[in-house]
Amino acid sequence: MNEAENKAFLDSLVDPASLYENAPCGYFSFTPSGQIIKVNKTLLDWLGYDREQIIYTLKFIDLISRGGRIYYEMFYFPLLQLQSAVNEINFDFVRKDGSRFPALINSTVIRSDRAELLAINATVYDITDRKRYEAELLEAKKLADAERSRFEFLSDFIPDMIWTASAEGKLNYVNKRFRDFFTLPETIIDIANIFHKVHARDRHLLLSSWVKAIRTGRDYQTQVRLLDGMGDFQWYLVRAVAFKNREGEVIKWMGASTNINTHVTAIEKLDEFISVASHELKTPITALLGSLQLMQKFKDSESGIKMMPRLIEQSHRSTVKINELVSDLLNTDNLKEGQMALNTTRINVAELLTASCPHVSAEGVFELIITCDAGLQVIADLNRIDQVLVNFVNNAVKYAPHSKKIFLTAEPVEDDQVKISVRDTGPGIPADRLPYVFDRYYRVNNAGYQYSGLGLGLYICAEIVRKHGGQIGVNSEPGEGSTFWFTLPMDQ
Amino acid sequence: MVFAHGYGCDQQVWLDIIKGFEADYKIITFDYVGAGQSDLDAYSSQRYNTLNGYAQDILEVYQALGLKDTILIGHSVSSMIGLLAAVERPELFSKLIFLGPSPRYLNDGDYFGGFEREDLDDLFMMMDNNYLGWSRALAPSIMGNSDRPELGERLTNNFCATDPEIAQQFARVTFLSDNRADLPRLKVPSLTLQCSNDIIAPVQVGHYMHEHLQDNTLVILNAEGHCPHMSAPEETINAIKAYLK
Repeated sequence: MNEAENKAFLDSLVDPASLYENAPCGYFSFTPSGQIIKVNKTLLDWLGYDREQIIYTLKFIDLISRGGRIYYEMFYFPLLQLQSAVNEINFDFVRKDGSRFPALINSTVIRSDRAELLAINATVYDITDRKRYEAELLEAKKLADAERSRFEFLSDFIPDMIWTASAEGKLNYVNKRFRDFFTLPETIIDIANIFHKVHARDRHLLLSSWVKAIRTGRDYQTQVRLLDGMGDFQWYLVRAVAFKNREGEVIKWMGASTNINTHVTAIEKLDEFISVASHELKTPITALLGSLQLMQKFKDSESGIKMMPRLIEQSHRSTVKINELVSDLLNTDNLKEGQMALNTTRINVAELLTASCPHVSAEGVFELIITCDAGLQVIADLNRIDQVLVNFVNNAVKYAPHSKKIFLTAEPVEDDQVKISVRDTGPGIPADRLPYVFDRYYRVNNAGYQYSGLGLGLYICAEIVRKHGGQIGVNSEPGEGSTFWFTLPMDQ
Repeated sequence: MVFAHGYGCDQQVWLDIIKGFEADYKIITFDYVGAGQSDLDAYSSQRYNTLNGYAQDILEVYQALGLKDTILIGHSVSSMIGLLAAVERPELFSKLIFLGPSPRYLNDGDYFGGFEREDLDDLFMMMDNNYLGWSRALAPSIMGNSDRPELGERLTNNFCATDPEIAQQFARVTFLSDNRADLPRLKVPSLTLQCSNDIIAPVQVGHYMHEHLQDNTLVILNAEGHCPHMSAPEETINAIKAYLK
């Protein structure tokens, strides 16, 4: 057999009829009136018809849904007239048993010499599975969209700034708080605008640590100062965690920026307090140690014995001072936990003022001038209120050492309150510091004067007065002196 | 002679028909706003929420071209659109020719329009399916490209209804319209051409038209289907010529 004969032989082995009938897609042909003139076995099987039930009996539109028939007349047929091929039109086929399946139809047209439409050859591809995937994908997308809007709703609700970034570190979502803080427009995330509000000294840190996190995929955390709407820099904790896929690759970053200014300043204050407290405690302890060493040294010598009373007196004073400081500390702890219990009795205010502060009057350096109606009475915890008075008077002594007269006044004021004031004629307190004098750990930082203490006294006073339902305050004019006052409910 | 295309098409559908008339008449074809090569920016979902909006398109074409003493040929829904235009400005029209008209597609009591509501829902779903084919539109929308996919690519098969939303609205306006009450208001003589086997506009509807229109001639064509101007242009041309003679 020569080559041509061989090819002819092999060609004869190809069975177009069998290929046509058993193709994995449907084939059919119809005339312009819709009359079906040929159909393959695959499509017959899908439809559940016998061949003779269709050929020259049914029209194409008999095999599709009623909506499909309108579509056929209004879209598909005009397209066939105008084009040589019409591809991927989705019709729902109706099986003999009435059930339906979606299919895509590709059609080519056969025309006469005069370009008249003679017949249409069509292939049918069952897309039931694809439809199902599409529906599931749409459903999944709907779910994802809903989740997304839920997340955005929640994230707008949170007082923190929330943001996400791509694996490369580019911001791609920020919540409302973030937009408001950085005054970003609705759709644009402008990095320059954001950077502008980072403290110049923190910018390098912010960027370099971010770049490092992106390179390593490790969690990101840094503290920077951001410029707020009032023009003040506030401390923020900026954190981000990497979302990773199963292979451990970073997909995106989820970040939050929290205002930690109060926290940071509180820590700063606490640090300062600890250093002050150590220093304050160290002074009397050193003095006490000194006194004790001297006693140890002189206890056996005759001349030394004479010094004992002074050394004992010095030790006692140091111990009292230590005791005061430690009491202040303990008081603060109690206050912090809200454990201060009041032991209230009826108190005559005039007697209270007269009896208070014997240590000051006894010294004879300062004169306490008391002005009070004899009949004024309050219900209060005597010891606690005395503590407040002592604190006020001690402060006057401490901060106004040249004011030799200290005025203690009690008077009824409106709303059935008794107002008790302690006034000195010292240097006064600068107006910008007045709002803070009752804060914990606050000490009027007046370098011109010697002072000691933990800065807890007035804070404790304020807590005591508040606990009694009264008010506490200070009026001061620099150069004129200060008046510390508090009110207590009058007993009628 | 003015040719108004039907729903789902544009002026290309008249190619075969106008050959029969261009020797004797001045021929005008046009696309409604939202169809064919029209300016989609001119589309207003409010204006085109009734067939009357499309009737205004016809009258605006007339005004722009200074047309009068015309024969208006409308296919399918354009029969009713033309009728509305002629009711409003009868002096512009000498004759109307309706090709496969229907004043009401839905069955309604004794009236036979050919369709039930669920048939139309089926159609609307099909339209969605054929516009939102997986490859062309759905995939990008799932993949997150919210920008609209290129309409040109999506609509390779749909030469006429350029924008799927416009097509959807036109379909609703067309198939849910009811112009039965407008039929007696037409003062212009008219010809109704109905095909012998047209599921969109069945022969019963042709008879209904004929009964309710003044000065109407009804001709049932041998042509089958809804588009005799495309499937049987010669028969259609001859029927129109016979009427105009």
